Amino acid sequence: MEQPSSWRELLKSIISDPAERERIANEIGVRSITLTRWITGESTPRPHNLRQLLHALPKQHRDLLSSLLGEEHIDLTDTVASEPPDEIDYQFVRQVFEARATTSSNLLFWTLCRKVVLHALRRLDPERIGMAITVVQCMPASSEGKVRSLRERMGLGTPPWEGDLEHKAIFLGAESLAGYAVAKCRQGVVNELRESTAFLPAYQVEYEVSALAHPLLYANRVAGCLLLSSTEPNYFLSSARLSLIADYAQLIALAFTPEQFVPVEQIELQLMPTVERQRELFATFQQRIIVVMKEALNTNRLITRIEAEQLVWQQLEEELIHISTLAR
Amino acid sequence: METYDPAKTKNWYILGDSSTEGVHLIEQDVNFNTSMGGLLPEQSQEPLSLISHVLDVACGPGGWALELGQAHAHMQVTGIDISANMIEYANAQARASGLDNVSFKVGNITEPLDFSDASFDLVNARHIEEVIPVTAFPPLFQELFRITRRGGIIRITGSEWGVTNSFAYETLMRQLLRASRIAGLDFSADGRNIGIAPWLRRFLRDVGCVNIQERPSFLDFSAGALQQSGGYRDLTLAFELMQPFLVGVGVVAPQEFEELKQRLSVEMLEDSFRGIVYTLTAWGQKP
Repeated sequence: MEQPSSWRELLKSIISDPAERERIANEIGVRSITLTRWITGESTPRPHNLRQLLHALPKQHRDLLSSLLGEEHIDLTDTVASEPPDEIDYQFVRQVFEARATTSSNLLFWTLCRKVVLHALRRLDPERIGMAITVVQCMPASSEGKVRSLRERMGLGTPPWEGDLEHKAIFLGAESLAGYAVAKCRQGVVNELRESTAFLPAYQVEYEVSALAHPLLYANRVAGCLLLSSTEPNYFLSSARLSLIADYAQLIALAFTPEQFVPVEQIELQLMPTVERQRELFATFQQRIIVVMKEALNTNRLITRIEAEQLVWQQLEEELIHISTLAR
Repeated sequence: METYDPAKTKNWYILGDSSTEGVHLIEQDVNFNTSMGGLLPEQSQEPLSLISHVLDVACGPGGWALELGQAHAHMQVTGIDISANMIEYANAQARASGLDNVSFKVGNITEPLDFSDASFDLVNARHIEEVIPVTAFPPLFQELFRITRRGGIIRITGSEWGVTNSFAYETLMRQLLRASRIAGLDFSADGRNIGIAPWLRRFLRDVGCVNIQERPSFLDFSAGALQQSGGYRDLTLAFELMQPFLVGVGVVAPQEFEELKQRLSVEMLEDSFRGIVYTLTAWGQKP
């Protein structure tokens, strides 16, 4: 083989072997398409990616890559000091307080949750290895005064998850990690969902390898939890990461009104049907919203989309609990 | 309630610069990146590797600049915007990502820009028709030309605000266009559209750009389309946020506006809903 003239050419020749491409991608924690993008120049690796790449290559390629990078004057050192690893930038915290103080009530939940989750995704998955963050909320209490299920209210992710996860939202119950965190008011972590050794209730969803749920608390009451999923095993072992997540959960809790927090004695989660069964029922969601909103229009009542959705979610919860009870 | 007063604030942005708008713009950036086919879909890979200094004009919360800096570590990307709130938010996002090649600063693009001549290889401006008056375009393009290096690219993207089969959408849009006309933000002859698209090439030509090219795209937010839910959220939020502008300029009463918003929510959810926003990108080189 001719001597490659650039590091991209060298990488191209190395990963022309699919097995080697897969191995290197796994070793440095990127998807194999990312390696292809580096070759074509569609994207450029950051200094620490290049350092990881150097370590992942066999010795003979490592020296050549190192010398080609040197010839192209590519610096492998990170130049700017990053934030302390276990703290949220205070300027951002101040922005969240400011948003809470100045946003109208009908937009507050959406604004704060998206602002915080966007920041958390950038901070917790800066290399976009793959993470989803979902805000899970307790459904309103039943006529007996008990919270019977949780609902994924909003979510965002980095690939392989689609950016906006709202349309994938489901109900969660006692069978879920989120259910555990809410019922116990305690953080729950499963470091390897592919193994069935977890003591905690949890089931694996698409792409998810490790997961964490952190309760959203106020005045010793709970409103739901922050649920994080990663494509990596053991992603939530790091104490710095756990500390950051606890802080993000505190910020997310600011998006809820005091009455949305309930005493833990009121949490009596039921088992919810499978994702597939839930989605069958959700196919009727849009039509139900239209019916509720048209009824309001025809009787000259103003109803917001959020209010209409809440009514329909409550209908769906009732039906899902009924299905679940019949199945037992 | 906030009021719309660009004479006082020097900020013509019709949706304000609240925290909600910051998050809304990040989401809108994602929608447009998808519909336009990427961050710089019209530029081939080879020129991209030659671009090292990029300016994003009226960058808002920095969605486009952050994504560009993340994808191309060799580029130094700067964003400017008149809103200190947006710039603070953009810088917070950059720090959270650990991006040391993206930075943001406050700047008013209706005044001379605080950059030396020939500072940038690429200058990008998306949807500035929503943030500066028509009269500010010619002097802004002179400035963009000045700060672009020889051989560098000036790139501008503008959108017409959509065609739908929703009565509420079309009514609200008519009110928005009337209000924009009163505020000096539309290019059209009769106020029936924004009218920015035909002007993009002309702005580039008038300042002396060569090799001018154009690329159209569209955002389909019809029922069943890929961008239905993103488009739905974008528009319902945009209408929520533009209430101070529309009511302030006096084109609609608050009660009528509320009723139209509710009707819009229903109509956009119907299976029969159809809606498309047209976008045009034009770019030219400084000789």
